[in-house]
Amino acid sequence: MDATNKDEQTICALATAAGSGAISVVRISGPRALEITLAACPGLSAKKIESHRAYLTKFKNNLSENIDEVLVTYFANQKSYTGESSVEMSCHGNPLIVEKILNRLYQLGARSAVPGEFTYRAFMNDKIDLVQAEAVLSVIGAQSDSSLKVSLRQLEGQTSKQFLNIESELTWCLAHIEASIDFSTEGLDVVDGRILIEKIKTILDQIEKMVAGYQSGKILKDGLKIVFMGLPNVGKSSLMNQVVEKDKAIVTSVAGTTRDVIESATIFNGLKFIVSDTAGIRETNDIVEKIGVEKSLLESASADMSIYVFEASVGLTPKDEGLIRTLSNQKILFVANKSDCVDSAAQSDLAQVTAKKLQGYAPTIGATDEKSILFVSALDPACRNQLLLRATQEFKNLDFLNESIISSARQFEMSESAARAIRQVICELEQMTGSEFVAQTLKSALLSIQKILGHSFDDQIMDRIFKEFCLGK
Amino acid sequence: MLKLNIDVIVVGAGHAGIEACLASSRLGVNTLLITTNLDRIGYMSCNPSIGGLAKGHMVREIDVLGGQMGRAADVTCIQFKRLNSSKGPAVRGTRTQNDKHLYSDFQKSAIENQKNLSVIQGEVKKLILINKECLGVVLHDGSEIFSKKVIITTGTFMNGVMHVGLEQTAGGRVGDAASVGISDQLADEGFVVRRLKTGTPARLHKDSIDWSKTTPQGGDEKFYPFSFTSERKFYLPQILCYLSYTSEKTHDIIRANLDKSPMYCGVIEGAGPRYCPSIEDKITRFADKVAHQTFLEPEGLTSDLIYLQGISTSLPQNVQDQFLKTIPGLENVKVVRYGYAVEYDFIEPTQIHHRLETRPIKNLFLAGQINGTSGYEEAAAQGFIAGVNAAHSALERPEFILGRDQAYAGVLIDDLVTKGTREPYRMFTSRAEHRLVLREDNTIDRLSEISRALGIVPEKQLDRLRVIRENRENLHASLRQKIIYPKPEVNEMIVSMGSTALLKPATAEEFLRRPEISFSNLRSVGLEYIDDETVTEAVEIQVKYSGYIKRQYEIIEQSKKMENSEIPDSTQYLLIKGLSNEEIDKLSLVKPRTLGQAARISGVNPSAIQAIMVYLKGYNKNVRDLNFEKHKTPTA
Repeated sequence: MDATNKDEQTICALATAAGSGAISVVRISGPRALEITLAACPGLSAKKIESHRAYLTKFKNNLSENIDEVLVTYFANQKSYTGESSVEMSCHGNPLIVEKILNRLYQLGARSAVPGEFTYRAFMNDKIDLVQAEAVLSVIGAQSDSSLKVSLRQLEGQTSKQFLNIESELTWCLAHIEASIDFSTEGLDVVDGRILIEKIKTILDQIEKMVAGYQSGKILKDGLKIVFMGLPNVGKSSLMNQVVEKDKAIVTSVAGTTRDVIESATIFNGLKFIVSDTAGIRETNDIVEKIGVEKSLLESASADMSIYVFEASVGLTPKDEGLIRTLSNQKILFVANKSDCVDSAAQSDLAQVTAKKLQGYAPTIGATDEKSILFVSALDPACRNQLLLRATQEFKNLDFLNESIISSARQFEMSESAARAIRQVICELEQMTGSEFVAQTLKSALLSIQKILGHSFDDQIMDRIFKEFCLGK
Repeated sequence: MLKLNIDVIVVGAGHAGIEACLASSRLGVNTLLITTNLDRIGYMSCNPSIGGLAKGHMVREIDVLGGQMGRAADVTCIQFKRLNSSKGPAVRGTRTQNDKHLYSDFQKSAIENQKNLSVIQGEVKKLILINKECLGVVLHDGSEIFSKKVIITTGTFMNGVMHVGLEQTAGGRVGDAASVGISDQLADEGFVVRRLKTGTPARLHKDSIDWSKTTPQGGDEKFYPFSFTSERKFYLPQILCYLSYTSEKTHDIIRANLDKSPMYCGVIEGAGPRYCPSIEDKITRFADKVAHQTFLEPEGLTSDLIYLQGISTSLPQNVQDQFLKTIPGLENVKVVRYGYAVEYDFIEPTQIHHRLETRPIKNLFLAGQINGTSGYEEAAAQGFIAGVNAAHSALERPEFILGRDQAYAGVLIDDLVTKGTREPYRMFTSRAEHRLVLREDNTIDRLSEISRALGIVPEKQLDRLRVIRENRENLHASLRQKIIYPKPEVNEMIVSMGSTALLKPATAEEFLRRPEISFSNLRSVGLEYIDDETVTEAVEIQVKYSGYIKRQYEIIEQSKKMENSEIPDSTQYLLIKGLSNEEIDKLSLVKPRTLGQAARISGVNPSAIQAIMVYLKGYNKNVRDLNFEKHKTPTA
């Protein structure tokens, strides 16, 4: 195979998930997409086929035997996702049929696409920019409504638009600084330094908002990670099962039943939650349980929020105190389980006592008043709503609808580095540093923004992005 | 037919031609300079000054390498200024105003006294071209001169047309005829030849000016010569220039007569320099500006002529008379020579190699305005590089190319051959992405080793360069060793300098990093050093801006990956998927040597660079496979 002509080739791949289903879609793209399709589907006529129309026809193998009845949609050059001539072929969702179709396409000269190659081609043919390419990835991977909305907005180019705007503002500032250097002898009216600082501060503000929005963006994409923590046998697994609405964790009355971390996902009010149950923390000689306990602590450290469970009838014990101290730099929701075992007066007493205790030895947690203690009963299915509603409220400062949301680690890193450089520019302007140094710092900010947009060449970026794609996208 | 043993012919004795013929002959190669006018060697056709922002940098660069311009500018300097002195050290620029006749005389005598160099007066009508190779030139009288290499530096003379109002005369400069023939011949050979225009202001008689209405402007007292071989004291008496302004009245007259300006009624097709606009341009483009400054610059110590800087024009003579009289001081002005525009042919520079040899025709080199540049310094830098390369080529030595991270001269040529130009190209500091390390003060550090290898600068002078560099290094080392202790009397001294007291011992280097501290403060805290500004200034800059400079070197290192990634000359861009037609055209024309250069071509997008890289990976893989196949060939 001639590697230099790799890009001239026509590629094909299964575009829907592998496995059985109602239908599967095979995608073909490249200069010979139509020719190959016509050869495999002799029922179609080259003269009659139009772009963006679906045709029902028979797909045949090399012996002219029918393989399946397929729906063929042809997309002409420039008018397709990849920017090349392409075909989408819906067949019945049987892996065997898909395999036969692909084999026939290979026979006719198409090559199997490498992961991300369709989107890569779209990028190379200027159909989408780099931010949009990343958005394709997140639209496909979106697992909740809000996350899908953000990804779609990105795909439409709204995120790009914001970065483009920042790019052009920074360029304006740079141009003025450069003009003040190169035309200083020519009586040019140069923009006032203070105006420049104001303008740059506005840009910084914009980027900082986007950076702050990243946490929301990440949560939208990956889900909010919450972890049940607590001493053994306080009902963590029962709560977990209620929250994820299935019997995920084994529940017994024996303390130390849960040994490993058990993880499951659930959607609440359009937000995705990743919920983990952990082994109850205690001193133990059981090797397996010991490992489980260590894993619990690790799990809680990586979570967006820990839900600390204790028994309403018992309250926080000295053992709880020890454990809570080790968690004290995290976001924690305190949940008193088995609330059905105590009356409301006792609940209110307990809440006050607990809050006071927490103020004593874990003031940083911020569970300062009795309202911060949540009473639930794992036997009552309503505990799911109670818990998740409270968890959502804890994150209400995340602005999920803000248009400035960035959602990839790469965009985040680059925005952060741009923000750092811009902060330095402001210092330099205030200290009247030589213009050429200010210009250099400003240029590095600009470069970060251009890298986000793919306006500046960086060979590693593209590799990184397109590697994340699965086949056929 | 003249049978001479000539290696290099240089056509034209302007600022490019002088450097070209001197560099070539100084490299020991037999060189012939042909000029249409022996009295106009090194003539300053426009402003009587050398240097300026970014331009001063280039003058210093070629000086260290063995060029001529810096020396001539130093000894004929009649006013000196260091521009942007209030800005950072990388963007300061040296400019001299010169006695234009003495300048010309100095250059002429340098040429006459140069070994291996002869000069003749004559007009080159044609090149001798056989099989896409240049073998010499044909003069106006039909005589042929053969040579191994030919360098053309004909400036604004190729098919030059001068415009004053709607009147046109053939010529490259007032008093000199145009050169007709070469550019048409090159066009016939398939070169893309286009038109540019430039302009010059009126020259005024000094006795007709009422100086009391203008503001005198002196130069700097401290002289930082261009050339490392020059003394740090003025060679000639220093003179004043005078500042005046245009007024609304001036603008009204010009506006009312725009229809008589060849630029505005479509007579001139060539693009003019946006950066050096005519007064007609300025008034149209900056309509809300009520006054434009102009400097009245004497053309020399004994000259009666005053150059009116900033007011270049091609309006008819009577209109020039009218509007000039509205400028304070010029109420009764007598114009000796009117301003005019000149339109001329240039060769689209994407058709030449970095060594300034043309792609289509071997042994033919181009330098100066013929490549679309403006300015004496841009011309000189190219002339020098072309002269060296023509000589090297004649001697079968490797080509001589300066990198963008080494010199402005490198930036200039890479820009020209990579991007081409739509208007007369002028150098700016902002064109150099590695500006912080391309300073005037470190020219010696950047280029003296390269100069030694090149071999134009005599050994004795090279030793001077070496001594300066050693002194800099030693001084820097002593700054690192010298410890300043926070004794009460020392701190008292420090506070009196407007700084804050030391809390713990610090090296002199650390102390000098304080923005309010300058080198002269170091003596009072006990540092002994020789007060030579050539040494102290460079070290101070190195210390004060080390963070930025270090970062710049890191950026250069990163860019090396792209700059070292070579693209084979045989690359067929048509075969690379993902390139637009525009990109294919541009890449095929420029034939970038490296991915870095490809990325600098305007209109070539980052995605195209990715595509080329993917293609090259395949190419390299194929080359490897090919080699692998060779090894696999059974030998038994």
